[in-house]
Amino acid sequence: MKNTIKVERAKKNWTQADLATHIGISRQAVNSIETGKFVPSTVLALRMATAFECTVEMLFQLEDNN
Amino acid sequence: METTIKKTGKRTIITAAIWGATYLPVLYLLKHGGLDKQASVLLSVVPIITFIIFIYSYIKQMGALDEVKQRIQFEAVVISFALALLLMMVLCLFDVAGLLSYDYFGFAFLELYFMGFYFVGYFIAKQKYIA
Repeated sequence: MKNTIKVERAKKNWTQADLATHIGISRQAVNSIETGKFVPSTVLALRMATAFECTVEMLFQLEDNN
Repeated sequence: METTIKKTGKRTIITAAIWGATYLPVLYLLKHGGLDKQASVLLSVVPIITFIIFIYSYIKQMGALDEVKQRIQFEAVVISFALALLLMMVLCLFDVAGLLSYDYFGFAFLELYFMGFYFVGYFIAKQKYIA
């Protein structure tokens, strides 16, 4: 699963810590999700999408091997 | 959220320290105190209670963690459980074969091994998600 969290963060000029504060998780967790090491739950994905004012599909996309 | 995690984390460390502070003296007293059986049983209850409080605090802390940290804890426990089972299987086989030395594999040692397994599991899981 790939994601565009870094791009969306850049649009808002947010650091990982800023995003972490907005969605109520730790900075390490944001880093882990952003780098694709951890796939978030639906609730967390929706919280991220709300924070970025976009859809979950815009943030997360399936790859060919998924 | 970070404040809640820090608070519960601190509470878990304090309860773990209290458990250690009760467990080690009780262990010493049971071994060298020359207590009768009734007193020994009563004394043994003290670290059991402090351990239950510690575990309750630990489980409560798990609920306050975010998804990634919960996954790390979950995998740490899974890895440590698998290693503990492996150790028990090896000890069982050695015991049946009459090769087991209780100098290194008594209950007190097993406790230390199990704790070590948790930290091994925690290290592996942390490397996987938070490098």
